[in-house]
Amino acid sequence: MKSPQDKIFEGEFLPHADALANFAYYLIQDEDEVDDLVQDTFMKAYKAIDQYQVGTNSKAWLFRIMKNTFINEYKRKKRQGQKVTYEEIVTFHDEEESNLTSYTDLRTELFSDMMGDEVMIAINELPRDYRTIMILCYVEEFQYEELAAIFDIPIGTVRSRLSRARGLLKDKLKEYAKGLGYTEENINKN
Amino acid sequence: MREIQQLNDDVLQRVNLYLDGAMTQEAAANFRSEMNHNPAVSEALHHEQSFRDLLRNSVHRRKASPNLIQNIKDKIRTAPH
Repeated sequence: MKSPQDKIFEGEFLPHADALANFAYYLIQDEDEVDDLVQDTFMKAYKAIDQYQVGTNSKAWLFRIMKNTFINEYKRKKRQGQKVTYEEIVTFHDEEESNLTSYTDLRTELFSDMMGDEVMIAINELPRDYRTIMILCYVEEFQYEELAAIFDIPIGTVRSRLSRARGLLKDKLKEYAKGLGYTEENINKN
Repeated sequence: MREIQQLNDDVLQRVNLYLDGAMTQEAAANFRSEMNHNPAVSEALHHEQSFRDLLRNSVHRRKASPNLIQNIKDKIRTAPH
């Protein structure tokens, strides 16, 4: 006979295991540690299950637990016992949104010539805070409000990080396009 | 030149807010109307959508292994909550 907590766990939490494994990878980029982070996240969620309100956004709740677990456990290991906040491990300082948008755009035709692996390399080269927010927004399809809650940042910062992440990724892809033989004129949209 | 850049930045910013579903209903309706009348805006939307498709299609999605799921289930059987 399963307890109500076990039913919630299996019915609402476990279905997000694949998405959490994906997020874990983009957080730590170490295949060997992905399973540990996923398992730790689920154990913490189970221990805190009484704080979870049934029927609310379990996916965002779990992602937030994973982000906090990553900060407090995995980064601490590497910093020899020191706790750090997410903001301390952000590689770039967030800038004013108005300063971030630059009209980097690439020709659509160019995308068909790009190999998935090259795009993956470019994504993996992005700083962690940009890489993860981009994956959560465009692959996991979280809304701005959910991203703000997961990363503990204002919505304006969500917008600016995404904008900066897109710009950085496009710049990297542009470099790749040049390697394919495209010239500056036919890479840029305008 | 600077004014053109600023105009393009503004278009790109609105395209992204639109695609992210972050506009109010009214702003989204205005944007759609603008898109129908301004080819530059619809072209920018097309490019941005292609960029996102490329991103989505390129990301290798990890899966939690059956062993991992089983380990988690085994652990919660013995864990207090």
